[in-house]
Amino acid sequence: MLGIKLEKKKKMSCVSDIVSYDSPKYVYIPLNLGKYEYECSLDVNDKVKCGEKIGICNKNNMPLISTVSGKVVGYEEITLNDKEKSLCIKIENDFKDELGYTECENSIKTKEEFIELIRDKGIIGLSGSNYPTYMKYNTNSDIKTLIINAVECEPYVTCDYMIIKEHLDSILKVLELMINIFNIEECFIAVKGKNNYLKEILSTSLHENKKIKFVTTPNLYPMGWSRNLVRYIKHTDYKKHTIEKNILINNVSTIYSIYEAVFKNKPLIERVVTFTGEGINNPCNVKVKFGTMFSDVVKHIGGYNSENQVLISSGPMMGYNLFSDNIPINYQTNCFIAIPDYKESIETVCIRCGKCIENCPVKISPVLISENIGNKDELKKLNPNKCIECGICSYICPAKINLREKVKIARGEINGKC
Amino acid sequence: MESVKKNRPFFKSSNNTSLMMKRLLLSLMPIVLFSFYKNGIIPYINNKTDIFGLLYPIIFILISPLFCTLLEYIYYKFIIRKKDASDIVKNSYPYITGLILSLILPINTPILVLLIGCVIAIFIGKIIYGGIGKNIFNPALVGTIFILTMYGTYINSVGGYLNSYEDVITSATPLSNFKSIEGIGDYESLVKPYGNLNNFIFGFIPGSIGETSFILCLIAFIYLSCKKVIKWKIPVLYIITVFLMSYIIGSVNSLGIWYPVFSIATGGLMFGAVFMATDPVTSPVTTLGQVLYGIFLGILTVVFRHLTNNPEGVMISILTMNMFVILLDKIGSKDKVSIKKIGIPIIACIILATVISLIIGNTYKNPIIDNNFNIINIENNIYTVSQKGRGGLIKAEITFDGDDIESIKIIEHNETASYYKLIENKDYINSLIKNQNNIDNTDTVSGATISSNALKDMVKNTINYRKEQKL
Repeated sequence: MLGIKLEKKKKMSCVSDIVSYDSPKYVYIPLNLGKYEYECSLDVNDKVKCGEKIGICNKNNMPLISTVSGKVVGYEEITLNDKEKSLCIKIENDFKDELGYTECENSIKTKEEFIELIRDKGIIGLSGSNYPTYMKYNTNSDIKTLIINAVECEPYVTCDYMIIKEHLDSILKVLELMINIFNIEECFIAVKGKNNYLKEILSTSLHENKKIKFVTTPNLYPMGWSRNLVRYIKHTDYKKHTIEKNILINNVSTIYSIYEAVFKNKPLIERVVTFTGEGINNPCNVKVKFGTMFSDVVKHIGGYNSENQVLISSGPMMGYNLFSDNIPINYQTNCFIAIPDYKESIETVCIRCGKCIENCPVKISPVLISENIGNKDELKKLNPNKCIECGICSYICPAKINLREKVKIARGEINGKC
Repeated sequence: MESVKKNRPFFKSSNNTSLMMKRLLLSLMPIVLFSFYKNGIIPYINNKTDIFGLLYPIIFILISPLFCTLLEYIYYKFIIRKKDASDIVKNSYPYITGLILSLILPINTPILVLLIGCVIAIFIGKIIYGGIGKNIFNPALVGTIFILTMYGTYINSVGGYLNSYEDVITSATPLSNFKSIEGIGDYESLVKPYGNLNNFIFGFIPGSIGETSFILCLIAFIYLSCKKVIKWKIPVLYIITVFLMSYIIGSVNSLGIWYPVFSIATGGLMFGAVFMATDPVTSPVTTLGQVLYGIFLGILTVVFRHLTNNPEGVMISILTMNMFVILLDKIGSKDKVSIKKIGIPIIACIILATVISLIIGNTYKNPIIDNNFNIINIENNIYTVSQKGRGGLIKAEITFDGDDIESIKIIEHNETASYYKLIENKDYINSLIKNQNNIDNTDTVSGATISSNALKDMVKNTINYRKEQKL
């Protein structure tokens, strides 16, 4: 079983083309991304150029890159998602767009050159994990299969779809290069089924290279989860990393940023973010620079249609609740949703219908886990650590119990962080 | 813009508990209407009852959910004085309990007894555990079992399961009829008294008010499974297990395919499987748990029907299995799913079911009726019997000493003299006495096969008859 059907709600944001917004007054670049901390030695009033390296992460050797040209105004502590706070560099845009790199095409011949280039250009996985992409490719095993994840199983989100729609040629170009460098045997572009438009353009442009195929996956959530993709496309399972089976999965947005790094010498400074939801006047996809405040972009594209909104970043299922729109966009933000008049459902008593267990993609028992909170020995047997936080249990529960949070509490309990 | 903090995920399914309960209620409606038709309209049309008798079934069925709701409201409002009493009752669905309780009772249950049953179901079955979601036993079943144990004899004395039209047809429910027959019975004794199998499928047989119609329960099952209201695996495995076990029992006794059909269409099995075994609160939540629960329900039902004095097996099986739900969920919630872990319990169950049905099938053999054999007289331990031989009846006096045959004295026979001479020469009668414990393997006398077989059958039939008498 691969997942459940959800309402799509994608239509509203994918009718118009990708809009570009590159003139924020200030950008806020976080120095702390989950596990990775960056070091930066800039002082107030120092000048920076767009795309210039302004710091480095000692842990994984990734550069910190300024996304506008201008001067450093100061350091501020900002809450990034629902909990984590981070120190951010505030850079004031001088709107001169001075580039800190030269626009040119890199000629890449070997694996090593490729890995060094994507490290140097600061390419990070744009699917939510903040995992440096070069570390994925820097492996001793052969990469036989490359899966390009453009499934976007979450409702509302359309940025990957729009990137394929508008930049398919660029993506195919960089994929051909990567196939040659890594000797990849087959490359799949996975899109969600019934995307008739994509089917058409993909089938007309794919015949040139026999190694690149495109697959349509069932319209289920969480189809974009890597384990599900591998199961569906390769009919196999892996233990911890896909590379065990010589498979590598990359998000299509990441592939597009690799294209820009290779053929335009451009570092990772912007991404496409879906601005959507019933509360936004003109839902559309916007190419934004990292560090731009959500509020600036929303103002640019047409604003909200009412005062009382619930704001969500990164999809309604896995995403976070934003308490304010004065929060900078970072690598994992693929979507911004505003829902007006959001009504929270009332929790009632669990009647043990078993739907959460039936539909759980990792086959754990959320209801039993929540019953056993406080009982460590029993919890260990139920293995809440397998949870991928997809949120299906909370979605499906007819009593509207927030089971995902309960599983999270249970995880904390057995991992010793209370 | 500031935003209000909400719990994630921000997408919730439109399904909710109250919708599920409404669908359950909807699926019960045809059954309610059918029981009104069967127990009210048919007797009325046939002038067996008055206008009160016409409306009695519908009053009986409706009073119970109303009374259950009232009871819970009184409890929450006036006894523990909750402020949101009406909300609690609304989310506790006492009317489902009440409705199922009234549907599984005999039609002649007095209304006062029904109300006592409601009190037991709501308080002993549900509230003392802490209300909905925490009870271990199915509340409706707790109420029913209480009524049937305390008032069963009384209810039977005023008519039991029969409505005023049915006592013309027959005298008992198919299962109590089944219990009263020696051995397994056959089509003549099990199905014929109630017409044919169609009556079983459509529900025109004596039984509890609402549980007789197999086909309506099946329709409700399909509807509820499609709408994902009930745990469909439980009824499917329950019915399949009972069907297959009855099939084995039937085959051992060379009964046709009608026997398993009879088994699953009687005794409210379908109603119990669809509406009571799937009660979400008191059934397992894990998939493997549900599979095992269904199989064990089937095994227990067959065992209770055949090996106990109680004709009904469904209710007791469900109540028994309710106790094991926690255990089954423990087995089912093992984090690593492997064929080994799932396969072993299921294969064990299948073997258990097969063995039990073979044992039952062999224990409850139908008595062999040999038309050629007759008991003429029994005096102390001397049986005067007759068996048809080649030339006519052979009459004999067989004397028993304890369980063993002491002597066989042929009083009269019309066998051809030359053949009978052979038997006498071989001392065949004494060899029959000698081999009486292994009678089937005693060699016949060559040249006088028919006559010696007749003698053999006579001894065998007499031994079997004596055994049965002793039982």
